[in-house]
Amino acid sequence: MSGLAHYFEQEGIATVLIALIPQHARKMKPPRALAVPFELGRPLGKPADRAFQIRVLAAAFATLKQPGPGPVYTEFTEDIPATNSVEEQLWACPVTFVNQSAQQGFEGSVAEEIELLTPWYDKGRQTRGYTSVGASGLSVTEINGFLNRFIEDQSMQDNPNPDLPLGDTFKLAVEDLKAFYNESAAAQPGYASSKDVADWFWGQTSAGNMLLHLLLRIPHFRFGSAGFVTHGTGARP
Amino acid sequence: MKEDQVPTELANAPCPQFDVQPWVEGLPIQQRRVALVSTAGLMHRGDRPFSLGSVDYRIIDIESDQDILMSHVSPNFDRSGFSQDHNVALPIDRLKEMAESGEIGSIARYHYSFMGATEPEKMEPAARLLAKNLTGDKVDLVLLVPI
Repeated sequence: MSGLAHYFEQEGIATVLIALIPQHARKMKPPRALAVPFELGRPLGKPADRAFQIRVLAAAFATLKQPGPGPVYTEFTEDIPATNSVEEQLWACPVTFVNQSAQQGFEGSVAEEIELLTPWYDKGRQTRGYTSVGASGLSVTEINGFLNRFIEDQSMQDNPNPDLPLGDTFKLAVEDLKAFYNESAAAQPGYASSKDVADWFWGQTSAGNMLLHLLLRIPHFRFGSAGFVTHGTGARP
Repeated sequence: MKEDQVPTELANAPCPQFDVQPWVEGLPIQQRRVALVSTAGLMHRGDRPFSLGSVDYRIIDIESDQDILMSHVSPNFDRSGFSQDHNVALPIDRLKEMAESGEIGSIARYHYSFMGATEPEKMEPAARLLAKNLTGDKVDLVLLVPI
């Protein structure tokens, strides 16, 4: 990201960079950087908190007031706001799942989860007006079948999206399935942190169990160095 | 991330060095036209997904009714925030509001996403070409947002 700042500024366009890894920003010296203390994946800090996001942006734009020559490096020191309402504090997935084992098979239990979560997914999609599910070009039902065919036959070559290499279809299908669960979880009452969602997905759902099962069994060379299930899995296998 | 929470391997990763320190002055923020450039591997539904080694970018049109999707190859960051609110990684709605309130001059129609898993040197040609598009669109401030 800091490299892009150098290139754009060399071409005559001013830049302001939000930096998630302060050490990299200090080493690469982009013209103006605001280092933020948030986790990777959340450069604006907190989803669905308009006021907080505006404060981050205002702090980033404030670097423009500092005289050159750069680099200008500042830090955003405000932490994510604590949850302050009863509704925000009480997030719990109200849908109870049976976390199937590999011996029992995953396809049926994941299909049940999808059915139970779909009303929440639809609610979230209607509220936001958009969804982040769909980069693979497959429905979540198709993804469930596709991934389970891999479990049954790890030499399988059937690609349900002929527009993409098989490895890309696989990777995007996994991320789409996770996004479906993430959106469904986020639509439920209360505020769910990334840890809440990750603990729930990897610890309580058949889909999470299925992906961990795949992680242990699909040889990495088939899909290059792009792993697919590390974030949030913690110490689980 | 908080500095002491960055894994040592990531903190010490080699970074390209630059011989010159560019600096472009400009108008006050209230008069600037702002575009976002993300490295989150974002795209509109129907666009070609990013894949390992992608060095190009996708265009995010704020007038499009197509959803914004993420096709970044890395699994090493949280995606649940983006699933809940795309503004946490691509704050286009916040910039629209800031433009309406006069906090920034205006927001460009087109925004852009690279995929940050690629080495920055490999993105340089596309970035320099993109800079010409941005200039043509009268953008005079790029907000760079990582993932």
